Amino acid sequence: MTSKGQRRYAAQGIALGCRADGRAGKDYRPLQLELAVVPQANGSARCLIGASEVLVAVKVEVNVPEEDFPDQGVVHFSVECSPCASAAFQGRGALDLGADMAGNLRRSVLGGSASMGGSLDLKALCIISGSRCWHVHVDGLVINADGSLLDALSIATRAALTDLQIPRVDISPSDDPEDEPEIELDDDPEHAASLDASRIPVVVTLAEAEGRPAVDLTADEEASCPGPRVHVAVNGRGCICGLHKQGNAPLQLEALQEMLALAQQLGPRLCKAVNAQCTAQLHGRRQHA
Amino acid sequence: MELLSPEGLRQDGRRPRELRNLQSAVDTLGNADGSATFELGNTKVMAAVFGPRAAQGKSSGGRRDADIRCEFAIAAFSQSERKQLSKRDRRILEVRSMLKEALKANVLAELMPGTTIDVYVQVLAADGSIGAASLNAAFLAVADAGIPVKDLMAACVVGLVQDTPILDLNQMEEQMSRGPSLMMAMHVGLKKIVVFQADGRMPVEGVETLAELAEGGCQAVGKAMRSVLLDNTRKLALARGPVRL
Amino acid sequence: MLQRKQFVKKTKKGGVVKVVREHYLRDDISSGTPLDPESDPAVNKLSRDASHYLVADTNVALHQLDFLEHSAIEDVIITSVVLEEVRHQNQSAYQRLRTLTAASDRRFFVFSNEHHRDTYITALPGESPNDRNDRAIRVAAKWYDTRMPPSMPVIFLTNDADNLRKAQEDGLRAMTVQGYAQMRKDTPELVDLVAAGVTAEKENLASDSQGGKGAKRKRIYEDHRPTAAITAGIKRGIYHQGTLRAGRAQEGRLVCDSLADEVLIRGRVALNRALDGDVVAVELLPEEEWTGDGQKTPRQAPSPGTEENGDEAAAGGDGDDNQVQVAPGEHLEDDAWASTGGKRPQAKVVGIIKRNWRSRGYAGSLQPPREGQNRAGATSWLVVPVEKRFPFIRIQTRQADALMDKRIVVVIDGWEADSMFPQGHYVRTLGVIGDKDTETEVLLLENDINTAPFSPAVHACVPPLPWAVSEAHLQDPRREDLRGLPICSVDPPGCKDIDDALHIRDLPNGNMELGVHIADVTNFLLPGTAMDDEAARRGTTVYLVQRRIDMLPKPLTEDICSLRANVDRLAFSVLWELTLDGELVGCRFTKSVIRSRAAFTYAEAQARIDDARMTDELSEGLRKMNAYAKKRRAARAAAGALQLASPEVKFEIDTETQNPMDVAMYQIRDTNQMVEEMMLMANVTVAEVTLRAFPACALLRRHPVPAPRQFEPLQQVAAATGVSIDVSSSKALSDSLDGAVRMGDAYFNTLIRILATRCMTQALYFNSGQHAESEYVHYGLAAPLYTHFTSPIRRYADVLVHRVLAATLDLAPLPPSMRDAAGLKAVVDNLNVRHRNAQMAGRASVELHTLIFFHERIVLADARITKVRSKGVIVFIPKYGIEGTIHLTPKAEDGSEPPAEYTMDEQKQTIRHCDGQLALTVFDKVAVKIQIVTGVAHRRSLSLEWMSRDELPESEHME
Repeated sequence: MTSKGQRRYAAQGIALGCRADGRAGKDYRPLQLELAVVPQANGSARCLIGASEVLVAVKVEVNVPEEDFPDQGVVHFSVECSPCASAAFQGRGALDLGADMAGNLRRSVLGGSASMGGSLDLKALCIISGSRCWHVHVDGLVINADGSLLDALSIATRAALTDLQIPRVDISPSDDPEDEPEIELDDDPEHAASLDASRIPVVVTLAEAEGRPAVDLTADEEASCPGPRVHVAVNGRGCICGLHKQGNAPLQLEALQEMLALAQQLGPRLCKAVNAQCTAQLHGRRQHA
Repeated sequence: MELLSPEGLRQDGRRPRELRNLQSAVDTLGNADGSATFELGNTKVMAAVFGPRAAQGKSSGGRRDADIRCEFAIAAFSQSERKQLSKRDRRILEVRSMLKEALKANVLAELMPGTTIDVYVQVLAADGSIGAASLNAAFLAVADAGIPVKDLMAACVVGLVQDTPILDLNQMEEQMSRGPSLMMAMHVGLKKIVVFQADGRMPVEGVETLAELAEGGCQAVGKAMRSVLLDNTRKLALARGPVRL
Repeated sequence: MLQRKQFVKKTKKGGVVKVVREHYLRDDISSGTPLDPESDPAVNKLSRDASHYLVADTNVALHQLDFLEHSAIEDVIITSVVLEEVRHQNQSAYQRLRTLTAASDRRFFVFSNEHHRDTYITALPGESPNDRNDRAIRVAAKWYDTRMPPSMPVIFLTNDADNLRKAQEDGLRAMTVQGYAQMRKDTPELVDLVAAGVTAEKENLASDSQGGKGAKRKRIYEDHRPTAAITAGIKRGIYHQGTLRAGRAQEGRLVCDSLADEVLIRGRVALNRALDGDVVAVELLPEEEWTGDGQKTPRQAPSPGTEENGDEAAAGGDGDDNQVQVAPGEHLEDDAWASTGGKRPQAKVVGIIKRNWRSRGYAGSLQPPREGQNRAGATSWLVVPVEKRFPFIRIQTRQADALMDKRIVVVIDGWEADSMFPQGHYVRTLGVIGDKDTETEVLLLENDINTAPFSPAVHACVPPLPWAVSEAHLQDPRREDLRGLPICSVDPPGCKDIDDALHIRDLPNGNMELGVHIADVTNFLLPGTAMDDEAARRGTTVYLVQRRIDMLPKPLTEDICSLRANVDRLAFSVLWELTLDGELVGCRFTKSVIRSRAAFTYAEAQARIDDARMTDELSEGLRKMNAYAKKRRAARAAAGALQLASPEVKFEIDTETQNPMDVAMYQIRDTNQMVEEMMLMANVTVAEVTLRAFPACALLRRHPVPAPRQFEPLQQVAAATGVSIDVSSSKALSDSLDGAVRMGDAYFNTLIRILATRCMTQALYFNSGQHAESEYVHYGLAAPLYTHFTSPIRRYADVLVHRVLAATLDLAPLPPSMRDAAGLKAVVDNLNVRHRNAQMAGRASVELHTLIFFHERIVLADARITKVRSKGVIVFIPKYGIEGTIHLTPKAEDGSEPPAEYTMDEQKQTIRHCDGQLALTVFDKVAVKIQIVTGVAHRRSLSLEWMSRDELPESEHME
């Protein structure tokens, strides 16, 4: 517990671009990204932003499509806040936080509730229209919590979906539409397909410190800036794909515009960094094989 | 499925009395007071310890020793088939109570009256011998937190496949083996058995051979854990510089 | 020392999951040769002095096992990748390969290439798993090649052209198996063992002297449909799946779940290369193509002209005209077919779902060249299987001259659509055709009877001799001391495996006690032991005319378990209390110690009963027991139990030559029926008790109610003589059989019973959890429940029943394996197969001895007609228990149809000569001349000739 004065001092530091760790207000801490960290998953990535550490694993399974969208696959999101990650993650609170972040991830990747796909081509996950499609499970796990968890999760999600390899399935023809389709698995990894993850946005979480927008708050800094949080999903071209204000503190329209401008500026940079890491690591793996 | 070929090799190429590739590390998490990861082949577990900290609430207030609490979880993606196990799942509860009992038997709780020690264990990748790996991770985290213990504690799993005792079963061996299996944890210095959990029908004379192999396995695992802890201590000593009084 | 590599594999298990496994590479894998100093001498198998080492690829290991198993093939390196591929593709081939690599007297070494640091490879981009594995084998071969000194060449064996070329490009000495066998001039017979494959066939075509065939041969059969199309077709109901049952090579029938009626498949083309036992998919023919039941199967051979066709004509077509020998009941299936009027659904085979080719091979002999045909030097020969339900098999051999008079074993390698007959290869020679030992080998092979000595592990389960009942047995509270009871056994002469013994005595309360004592085999045969596994596999002891192939090792069979006279033995006893009127008032079971006072033969026991002067306790007991048995038998008959007849013959064997000197019908005495009655009583009682205690895992024996159609052959011939047979229930049938009498013809009734026996289906063992209660019934015995309890020394079913009964009485826990429904079903299915095989082998042995008996003997005998056909009659000769066809119209030399001299009236079952002189009706007495006709190279057949009954000596006349 810090005192009111300490908190104010910290907030001013952020606003003035002179934070405890020496960063400016619109700087992220060093980003680390590692792909294919869970061998059992079809795609995975670990992302560290400073001391915050998250893991995202993607697994696919063959299942039936949703009734309203027979030609599309289904993507599920879940986030678990491990009690290892923080003394605060015990009991109910961690569950709510996880569900909240999963919802945010879902909206940023898939767009609105109409499930039209947003940044993913859900039609590419269709196997047999109306009967079989891929269900993609994106499971996030918070390993160490020190702020910017959603930002880290969104980065890891983008990386894990880039890493994702979907095995090829062949459908043996059946003359009778009533029949259960026979699905033959092609176990040649060479034939596995990847998903186009290039349009997936990253989430930039903005806070207001002394009226100025700031990003990537550490756990301590978060305690100093009690104001509203705005999660902005931004893709590689700087387009805003989603916007979500968290907390019930009021926000000025001008402040929001300022925040959006900053997000549009930072988003493509983060995407670029993620892309560079992914390309390097995937390329390295191919070379190794 | 032929788990052990007549040539004496297991499916993954190990001989019966060989461990998988073992890796472990301590001080892996920023927020916890002690933390560790422990890997055996494709099994990977992380553990975090919070405490000892002053107990809250009435129930543990007047305790004359530390209250050790455990949580255990298996990530949904950790196995071949995605499976979200509830906290109340029998498999979760079994491991959790095993962890708690084993740690209680090792931690010198009476030195820390009125405190609480929270141990959280999370399986990230599952390929057999989960219980043993979890206990090893938990012990490393406890040691990393500087909590006083009786002795270095290490665990491993052994099983009987085609009448041959094998060490450190992976998931396929656990699933396909029709023979008995045994998870054992021991104080490697004191040579005392802490956990002894046998599954399946076991001939009396078989218990002894299995236990002997398990003891050897625990010693080998313990040796690796000791060197990780020593390395970490050395690193800390260097980082702190000379002791000033 | 451990290196870690991961490879990723996806499998489908309900869906699609990713499986991750570790794969460690090592530097301590031995190469198995003393030429490599790093190889562990303890595991070395290859010889330092070999002229070369062989490395076989997967296809060679899969398909050339007969070649590999030949003792001239040594110093072979089998890579673990090959073993793994073989295991996936063919379990039995894997077992054979493993036997080779485990044999201490063979130099086959398993090289674990997949875990060797220098020989493990990962698939290249775009490389199929097959190609990757082939490459792994070549890499291993190359590894040996570089590691061995130049004096030790490494030869890579492959029959795959692509693999051969790549190996040669890699600088390996690579050759085909054919090429290698030809190179081995020291062992010329190796060439014959090479399984026909693509490569071998091509070579043949090129070198065949009779060749001149175009590169493209004429397609004889339709292509089999692809698996996906078959699966889809079955789902849509246009194809039907079933297991083919073929009575002969050109005709089969099929019972499909999806069709109400059995379907016929007629002719080679329609059978489309399916063999007896294959699981096939068929398509029904349009009804106008159903040919109905002619007396003759129409040939559906393709247009003549090819060499293949010539062979077929020479083969004599259907084969049932030159019937060799018929055991009672064996050919009832043929008969049942031909006699049914009307058309039956007919179908053609469109695909084979599961081949049932025997890996143990088929016994047969080379088809001799036709007269005037010169086949000297030919290497392509047809093998005529002993069992005519299999087609001829084409093999390549250079030793035809030596094999012409031999029984040989061949296996089938493949059957192409452009080949009339399947391709196979020679495996081994059994001996000279007609020789008793050879033919016994044949019947053992054909019925899959394991004659191998018991393994040391099995012998280790047998208590050492001399064995005796110990004090501990007597003190066991679960075991009663019944040594004071007047127990004796009654068996056939020479019986050494005495399963059962009996007693009867008066009780103080005025009632009687009847006891059946069964050898306590399960005291020695414990679940899960090597001996138990072996006994479960064998299933039953097999009795041949002069040989017994035991289910349990001899010390148990003949001594320790056998309830011999005047020694203490362990038993499982059933004790009933009866009133003097024969009413059952109590029953109990106990494990016991008994001491049999005498081991009688049926004749001895009968003599004691019949001789009123014998008043000793045992004789009196036998008399009482016999009286009670008769009472029960009558009661059972009244309840509808069938009294069937199956003529058994008995040989008198020359002790020196072991050849049969005389043959006679087995005489059935009262004592036979008495023992049978006691055993039935025990079995029924045990069935009831065990089922009550374990409703889901009692082992029972059921005899399904036969379909009315099965009785049609019997009804047809009976109707011709004015006798009607009511088959509506076993009671009705029993009454009909009793009523089927003709004045002055006592044997008529026996004949009818023999024919009725042939209409029955097989009784089967089953696990009570496996069937509905309504299906438990034993039709023949008219018993709602039945099991086998009384012969545990020679039947494994009885062993299981003993265990269940012991559990019922709380003497021992029920073995967990009895609760494993799937595992138990496999055991029980095997018991049914083994039981049937043992019966078939026993019959075949009798036939064989009959044939030997008639060798160089011409015999006249009295016979009865059992069926009338268009060109002859089928007769049964009671004295010798044989049945065969008398051809009234001799076959023309050229095989053409002779002018019809006879007319047949199917309704009246009469055949009449056109000049009216001769008319034969079913059940008529006729005289026959029986002799052996010797054909080319020892091929013998039994010939029956019609004689005027005047020529029959009076002594041969039946009553």
